[in-house]
Amino acid sequence: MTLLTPLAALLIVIAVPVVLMYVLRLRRPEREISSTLLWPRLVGDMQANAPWQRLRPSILLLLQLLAVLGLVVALARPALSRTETVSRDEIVILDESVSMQANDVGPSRFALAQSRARALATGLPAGSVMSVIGMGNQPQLAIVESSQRSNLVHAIDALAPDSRAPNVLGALTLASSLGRQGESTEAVVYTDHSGSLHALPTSMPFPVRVVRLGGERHDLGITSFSATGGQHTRAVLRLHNFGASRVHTDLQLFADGQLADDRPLDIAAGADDAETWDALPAGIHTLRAHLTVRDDMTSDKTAWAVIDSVQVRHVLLVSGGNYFLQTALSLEPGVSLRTTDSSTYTAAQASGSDVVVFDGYLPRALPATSVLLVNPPAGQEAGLRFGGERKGGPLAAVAAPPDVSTIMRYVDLADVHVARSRQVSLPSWMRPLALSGASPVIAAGQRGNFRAALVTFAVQESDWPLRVSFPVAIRNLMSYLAPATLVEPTGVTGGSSVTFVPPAGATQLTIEGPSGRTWKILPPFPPFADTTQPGIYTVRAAPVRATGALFASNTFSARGPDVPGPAQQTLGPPATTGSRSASSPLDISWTFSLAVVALLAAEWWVAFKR
Amino acid sequence: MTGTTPLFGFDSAFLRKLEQVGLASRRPISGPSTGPRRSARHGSSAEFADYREYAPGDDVRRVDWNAYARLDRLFLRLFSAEEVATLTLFLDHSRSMEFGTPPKALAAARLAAVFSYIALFGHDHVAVAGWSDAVDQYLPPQSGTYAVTRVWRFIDALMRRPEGNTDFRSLGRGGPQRHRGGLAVVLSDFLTESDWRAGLLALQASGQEVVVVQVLAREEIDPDLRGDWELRDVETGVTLEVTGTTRLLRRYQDSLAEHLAALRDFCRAHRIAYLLISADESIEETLLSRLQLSGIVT
Repeated sequence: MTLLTPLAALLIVIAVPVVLMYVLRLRRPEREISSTLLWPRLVGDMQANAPWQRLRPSILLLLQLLAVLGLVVALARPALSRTETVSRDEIVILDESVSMQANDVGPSRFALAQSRARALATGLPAGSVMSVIGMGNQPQLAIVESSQRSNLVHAIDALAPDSRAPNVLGALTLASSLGRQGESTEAVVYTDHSGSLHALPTSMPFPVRVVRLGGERHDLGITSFSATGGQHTRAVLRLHNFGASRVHTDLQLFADGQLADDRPLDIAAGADDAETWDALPAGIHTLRAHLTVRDDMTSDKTAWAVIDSVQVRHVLLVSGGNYFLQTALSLEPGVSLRTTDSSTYTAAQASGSDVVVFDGYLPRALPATSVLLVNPPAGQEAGLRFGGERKGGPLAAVAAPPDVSTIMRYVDLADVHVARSRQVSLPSWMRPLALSGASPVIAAGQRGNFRAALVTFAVQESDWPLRVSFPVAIRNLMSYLAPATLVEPTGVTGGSSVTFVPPAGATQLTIEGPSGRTWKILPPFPPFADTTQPGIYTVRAAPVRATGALFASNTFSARGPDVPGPAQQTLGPPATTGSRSASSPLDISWTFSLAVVALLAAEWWVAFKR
Repeated sequence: MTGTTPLFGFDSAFLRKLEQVGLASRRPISGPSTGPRRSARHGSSAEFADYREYAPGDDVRRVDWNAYARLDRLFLRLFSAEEVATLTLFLDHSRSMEFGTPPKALAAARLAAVFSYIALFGHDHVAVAGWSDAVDQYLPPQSGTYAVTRVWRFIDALMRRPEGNTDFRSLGRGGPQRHRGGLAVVLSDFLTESDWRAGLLALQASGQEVVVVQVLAREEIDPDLRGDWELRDVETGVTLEVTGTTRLLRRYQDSLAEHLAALRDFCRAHRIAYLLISADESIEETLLSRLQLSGIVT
């Protein structure tokens, strides 16, 4: 006998408090009686002061310990190892792609596939085992080599269509790893992608029976939709007629919920179409496109797009005059640059700025916002200690943690030289990004809710401004110190993930889905992939300014037209007959569960009814 | 009776019923003076008792001359003496008698009041002996209906001061309560480890006809002790941890039945009238009939 979850045996420690309950004296309420003459003397101690008592043999204790033991054993899932002859290995692959939602066969191709798979499971001959694979964008193993029909049906029912393209190669590779050559193994693929399965993409050791579901599909679907902002909002929508006949439809466009355009379309069978809008009003946040035609697919008739808009970031440059730095900052899109002389700088000037750049100047206290220190003088602030100057030389980038490594993305420092740099002792929250010799010259990090970056040399005394890497690095630094967007990308296919670029100081992101459901994302703000519901999602950062960001999730049809093919086709090597012995565990935890129930019933009877 | 006289909750109708009954004795008893009760001593009253042959020195006035005429032998006629008996109420006023709702002490006091009322209205004398560790309270024999007030006050005061532990050996020790002859009514819960057999036999040995009235509280007859309890004996202070289960309560009932049977069998074997009373019983409704059934009153 083996234990399927042996760690559960650790729960035997539950027996300790059970025994303690018998060793520790129960504090009983006192009751006066006229005489103890008639009470049996065996029922308890005559001394009531000691907190402990001798452990006496007790049928209740025995029953309770046995119940605990039975419970622990049941949770550890004991199983008998049994060897049985497997006469047939069946591997069922269900296509979970978006096209399987087509309802040209009722109620849908996917439901029909599930029904066929269930029938295969319930009719599984004795001695056979079945595995089920969901062929979605990420192929998943729903159940492995089970002969339990109910478990197989449950696993089949748990599969659901995916909004993304199926990973046929991944699913077949997974299937091939389950099968055994020379044994009676067969894979059955329930799909509507007969075209892509004419030839197996991988060498299969067993035959693959492709069962094509659905007939001729009538589907005019949106395949992409995007929009950009600016003086005018521009949008592009692409369609494809997956059916075999010409389709007439109306295409409606809604801007921020208001109908902005309604145009008739006439798309030939198998044809692509692109619809554009070049002069939509500025200031629109979202667009929704909708095809009025009704056909076999409903999920690809509506699409959403978010107009990319760059958030304005207010940057204050405190400097005695730095042409290169000022030019690089002013060229950065979305940056509103103010400059002030370091001799007249006051802390109040930093108020309202997303980033304050101190060039050749170190304030007595850093402002409560993101800061960039360039060529700081000797001194110390916020854990940073700046010493004397040292002779410069070539720069070299160093590996940095992911949160700050984006600053050095596309920044090539190989041909950058500096005349001299300021010696610095970095605090623990700041990580070096580039070194000159052994001294850090570029560093960055998160200081509480705010970010800070450091360049320890004067850019005028280096050849960096002459290199391409300089404006790239300034752009990356600004993106790090004051991200231009909260979420990337702003348009995804359902089920794909988005990443967040939270602003400095953000402690929580709140995402609201199209149905009103909300998610809370906490640092380190991992990617968000619960985007299966199509529509507009809103992202808000807290506790910083409530400038929310939007992203759209869509279900696009992304494959070619259906290729008529045989309803059933067998690929791969011919089937073999034979059998093999397989060792499978027989879970007998239920017997222990029943024993626990019986023991608890016996304990109740002993305690209260005997 | 004055306003301060305890009435023990009896109404006048019940008292009139008590006035119509009298204490019964199973054998002739002797008392201090003549009265309505038969005496074991043969005397000169009118109630014929027996014959015996004449012996020189006998009073020739008591020779039955009719028998001499028929049998030609001299027989002397013997008569039972009509005497007044003394009823001694032995009231257990130990701490255990406080127990119960209503307390056993109250039930015992009411019973004692009933016995004393019947006796005083039957021209008998009534003495009261309160006892626990020893006979520590004693009211000498009282007579006459006017003594009811005095006796009832004594009983009331006695049962308001439960103290000490029940010790039946104290009944066997000498004292003013040990009247030669008379009727002794012992009222107690008999829940004691002291030797109640010896105590009752000692009373019998002193020539008294003994009546046992055992008073138990409803909580002792049918205890409601489900769950975990620490029981404390009010007399000894002994504690006992119990977990009240059906099985334990059944064992208690068995133990109680065994104890009652032992007392009842002992009384039967020694011609002692025995009566078990629950403290929550209505004395007015059931007492007289039960006393009559037990042969304690007529």
